[in-house]
Amino acid sequence: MTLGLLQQELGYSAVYLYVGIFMLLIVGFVATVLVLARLIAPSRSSKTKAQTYETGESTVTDPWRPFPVRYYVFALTFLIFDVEALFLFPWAVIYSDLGVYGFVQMLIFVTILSLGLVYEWKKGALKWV
Amino acid sequence: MPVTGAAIIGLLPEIIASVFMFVVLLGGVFAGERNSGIVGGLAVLGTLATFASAAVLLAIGFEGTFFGESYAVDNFALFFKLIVSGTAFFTVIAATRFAGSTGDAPEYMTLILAVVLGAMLLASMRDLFGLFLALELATIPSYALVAFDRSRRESAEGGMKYLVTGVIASSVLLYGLVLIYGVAGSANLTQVAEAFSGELTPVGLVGIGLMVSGFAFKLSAAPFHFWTPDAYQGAPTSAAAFLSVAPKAATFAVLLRILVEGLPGATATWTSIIAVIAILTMFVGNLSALRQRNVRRMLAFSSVAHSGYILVAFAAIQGGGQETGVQAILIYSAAYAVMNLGAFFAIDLVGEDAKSFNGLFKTQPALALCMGAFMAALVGIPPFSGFFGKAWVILAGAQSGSVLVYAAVGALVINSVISLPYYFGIVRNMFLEEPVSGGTAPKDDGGVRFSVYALAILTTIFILFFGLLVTLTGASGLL
Repeated sequence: MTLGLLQQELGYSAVYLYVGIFMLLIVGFVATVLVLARLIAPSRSSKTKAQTYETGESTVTDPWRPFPVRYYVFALTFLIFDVEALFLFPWAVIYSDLGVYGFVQMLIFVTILSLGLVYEWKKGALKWV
Repeated sequence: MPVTGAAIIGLLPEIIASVFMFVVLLGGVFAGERNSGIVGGLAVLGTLATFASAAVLLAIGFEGTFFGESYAVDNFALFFKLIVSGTAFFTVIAATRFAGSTGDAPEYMTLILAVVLGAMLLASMRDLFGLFLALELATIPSYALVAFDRSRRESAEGGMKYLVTGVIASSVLLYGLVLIYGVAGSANLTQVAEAFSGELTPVGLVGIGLMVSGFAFKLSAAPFHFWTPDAYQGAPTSAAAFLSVAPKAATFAVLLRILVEGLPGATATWTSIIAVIAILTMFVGNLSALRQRNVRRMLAFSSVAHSGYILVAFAAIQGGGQETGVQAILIYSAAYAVMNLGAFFAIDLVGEDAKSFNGLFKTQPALALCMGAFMAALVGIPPFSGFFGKAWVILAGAQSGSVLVYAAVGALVINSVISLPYYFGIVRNMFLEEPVSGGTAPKDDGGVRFSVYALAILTTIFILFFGLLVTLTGASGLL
């Protein structure tokens, strides 16, 4: 029985059958490859293999210790300007159709966002210590 | 859709709240050190102005739907906006001292105002995605509020638990809303109502189930209540008090709006789901509260139980109980707001261990009487506020004509009896026990004291507003 016939028989829900078959194929393929690799590949571990390599650095002290998260300032600033850009681009594309009304709306929006920047500035978050 | 003048008037409470949100934040930052007085004053002014604008809109009978029928300003929404901004008023008064002590007063007040803004938008939303946004606007600041007290580890723990579980609940809720949108082909409640007028499709049923589960989580209804005790115990008292009342009331409002306006065709389905949840919630809340020695935890479980009581009214919205059911939800929300807020604030003045209430009547008689009033109201003894809520719920249940709802009302009565020992345990400690000597009493705080006294008075003279409430809720504009 072909899939087309099956679809006629089961109606619309047969579409999900394709998804189901694909899922089976994906899971089956991955499982087979993993099992085959485990069976065939030789496993000879050595000290050299476990070492840090390329861009990694060997640790000098215990890496599990608290350190200041300076980069959250970037995240905060990014959040402000990212949202701004997200809305400014589509707005700019149809700016001429929107007229004064659209301009005022965007002005309010940008003002609210820049208040966030003012707050950040005043809080001293832009000062790199 | 251009914004009309009427829309701006209708959105006045929200506009005022958001303007003050920025004013408080920036004013506080520009005032520099020792800014808690200015920040507190601005926040009080903001909540008062919000309350006043909502009250004026209600008084002149302003009604209308805006933005393509996706935002409704009616008596029903305005009523909940009054509850939200009113509770926020008492909260910012009570929180000023605490906020100043953390050194981040502007942030704390801004977060409270953000919750106010989200909750008020929530009460008016008639659009599935708009209401999700508003719900998140009310929820995300509340995670931060819970974790705000950096001097206590439990605060961070509560905030983390609340965040992780809350995010899962939000996604469940969103999934439910999306499925409903998928069935209806529109996010607007009017079109949703048309699509759900016929027989319920399986997808629609799954959507309603997921949506109700998501809301049950936000309302801390069993079996989705596990975050409640940890979050409320960890949170600063003012935040716990506020979060147990204002966003919850608004969530009840929006759930009611979705169910009554959007899914009237599926009434039989959602009333039975909610009736089962309500019965479970009442028993879980009260039986867990019985075992608590920490008053904050006890009140957290009591708030779970009260969510259950209000949900009984939701289940009663069928048959002859429709109008009374909606009224019961409105009245109960108002009654619950005054009594629960006050009971939480009193912890700040006395202490969170049940023993710290010992002999309070001898040391601070006025405070003991206030706490006694809150406890009696939470049990539901006339003439205190809680009685009217419960009476209306029972009345609605009796009119509904459904066996399941009768069972829920029976469970409500049984649970009121179960709840007696823990509420009156506090009362007994206050009036009959001897004061514990040597304990460290919390610092006296004038703002908290004012809020507790004012709320105790409101709880006691609730009957005077009752006539007004019934007329208001009778014409709630929802049915």
